[in-house]
Amino acid sequence: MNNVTFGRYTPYNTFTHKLDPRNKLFILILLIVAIFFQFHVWSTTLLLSGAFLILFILMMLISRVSFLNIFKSLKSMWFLIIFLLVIYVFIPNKAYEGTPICYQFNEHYAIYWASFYQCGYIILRIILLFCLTMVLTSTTKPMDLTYAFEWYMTPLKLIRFPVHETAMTLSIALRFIPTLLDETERIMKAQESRGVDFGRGGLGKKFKAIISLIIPLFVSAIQRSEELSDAMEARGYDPRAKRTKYRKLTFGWRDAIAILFAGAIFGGVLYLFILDRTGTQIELFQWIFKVNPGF
Amino acid sequence: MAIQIKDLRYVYLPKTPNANVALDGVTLTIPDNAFAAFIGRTGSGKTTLVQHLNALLIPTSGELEVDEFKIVSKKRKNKKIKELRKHLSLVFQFPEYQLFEETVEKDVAFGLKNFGVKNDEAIKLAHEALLSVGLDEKYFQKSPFELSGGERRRVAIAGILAINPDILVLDEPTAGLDVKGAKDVMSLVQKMHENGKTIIMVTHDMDLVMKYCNLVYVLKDGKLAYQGSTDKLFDQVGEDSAIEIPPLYQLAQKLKERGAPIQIENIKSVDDLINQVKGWKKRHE
Ligand SMILES: Nc1ncnc2c1ncn2[C@@H]1O[C@H](COP(=O)(O)OP(=O)(O)OP(=O)(O)O)[C@@H](O)[C@H]1O
Ligand SMILES: [Mg+2]
Repeated sequence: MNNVTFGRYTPYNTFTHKLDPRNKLFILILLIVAIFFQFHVWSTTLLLSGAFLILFILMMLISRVSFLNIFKSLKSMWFLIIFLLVIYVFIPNKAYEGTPICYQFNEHYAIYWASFYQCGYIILRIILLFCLTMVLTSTTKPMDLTYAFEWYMTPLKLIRFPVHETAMTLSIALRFIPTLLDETERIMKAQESRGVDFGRGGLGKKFKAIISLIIPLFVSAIQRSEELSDAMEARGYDPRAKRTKYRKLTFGWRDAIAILFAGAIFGGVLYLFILDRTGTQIELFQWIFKVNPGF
Repeated sequence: MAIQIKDLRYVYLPKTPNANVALDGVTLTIPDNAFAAFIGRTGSGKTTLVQHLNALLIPTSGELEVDEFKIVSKKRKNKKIKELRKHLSLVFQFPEYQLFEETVEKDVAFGLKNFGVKNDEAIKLAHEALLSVGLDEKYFQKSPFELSGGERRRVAIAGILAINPDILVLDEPTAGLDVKGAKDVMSLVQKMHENGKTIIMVTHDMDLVMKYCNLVYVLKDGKLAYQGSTDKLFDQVGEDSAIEIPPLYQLAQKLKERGAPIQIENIKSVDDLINQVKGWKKRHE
């Protein structure tokens, strides 16, 4: 249960912590889009991904995000990695024909190097995504994140979308994640005192162990939510009422620097991408159909 | 010595800005057949300490010995944890939240089955444990979720009693119970103690400490502030606001100050005091 702290907000006071959450959210989306550009020449893509990795590691250093978390998350992803490898490497794909062969079983079936590359590239992208979201969630209070969401959704009020209610639901859900994690830990300890072993045991034992955790957890979560809604009602909460904010989000000079920097990176990658796409259009189509079966 | 703790230190969330030293260099021993109490303000580390006793928490540094079991700060080196948990059982603060089976008897039998007791035998022992906490046949087939809070607490305690550990640790067993419920639970624990078990209890209730416990350990900000017998504790703490001296003790003390020949160390309850005063009156007449 040591990885329950994964991606949790850590109250440091770094550059990233001081950014406006709306700005951070926007930058996150820009960078995610930038990661997903794929280029004609695979070496270009790889090079860019490597550059992104270095950039994100720098971002993590600045924001004091623990690297240990990345390795931990990789450890828990080994199943996904093996699954991807099997799918990409062993399932025959016409698109690889003509590329260098790694192992030839017979004349109809061979394993290509390109499939390894493709699989590795996808895993790399997942890691990049991980780093980015980790920087966001460990430097931004969940509440601030919901304020940012609410701010972006404000135009939807025009079409009578319940923006405030959605944001409130979201913030309550986020608020209770750590509470539920603590609760999980508490119940696990209580059941361990009764001889439950969450780590080991056959399938039947494991199933029983999980039941002994889930049911009390649900019961307490439901109880908690009922109490919370009663408490809100008792204090006269009205979802439709117009309300003011205790904390105002402000856009400062740090935000200007950050958005300019992210914008420059995004612009650069976009420019390269457009060049790539306009230069060799026909091969490009082939390229998409060839190596992008998963997306 | 049933339990020996050496220089125990525990840090929650180490290496993060939220790092919190909950226990800092605690060294203590608890003898066999003790009825020991851990007291201290909220947040002083009592729960953290007792969770080390059955290896739910592994020390950041330092070590513990519970009879033949040894717990050290290296996680992998701790063996026989399951045997330890059968030897020393822990009743959690608000244990009623750990119930999950569809009937009361099954829930009590759950722990037994985890420790390898066969089903029929486990149900039989569960019935005995339930009867001993004052829940009769009516309750056996009920769902734990249709019981009141106090009844659930009893079921949870029965679940631990059924395991029949040699050392029983209770974290605030009477918190949130009514007077009768608290009394029932305590007399049950008292009975266990008379049957030769070592009892360790975390509590805020000084009356309980005075009445039942023969050893007290006071924690203060993660450090051990006092260990010793109960009557000396109230003598020593004096004005320490963390410990509220029971009114009964204060009364006895005041009487003694005014010259009444009262043996404070023998007073465990109001009746004891009354008897002493009566005896003293008789001698005067
Ligand atoms: N899961 C946890 N994560 C982080 N800190 C914790 C955790 N549990 C307890 N603490 C901290 O450790 C310290 C000791 O807590 P502990 O629960 O042992 O206190 P306690 O003496 O049992 O208090 P109480 O009388 O309220 O039950 C407190 O400062 C608390 O905030
Ligand atoms: Mg406690």
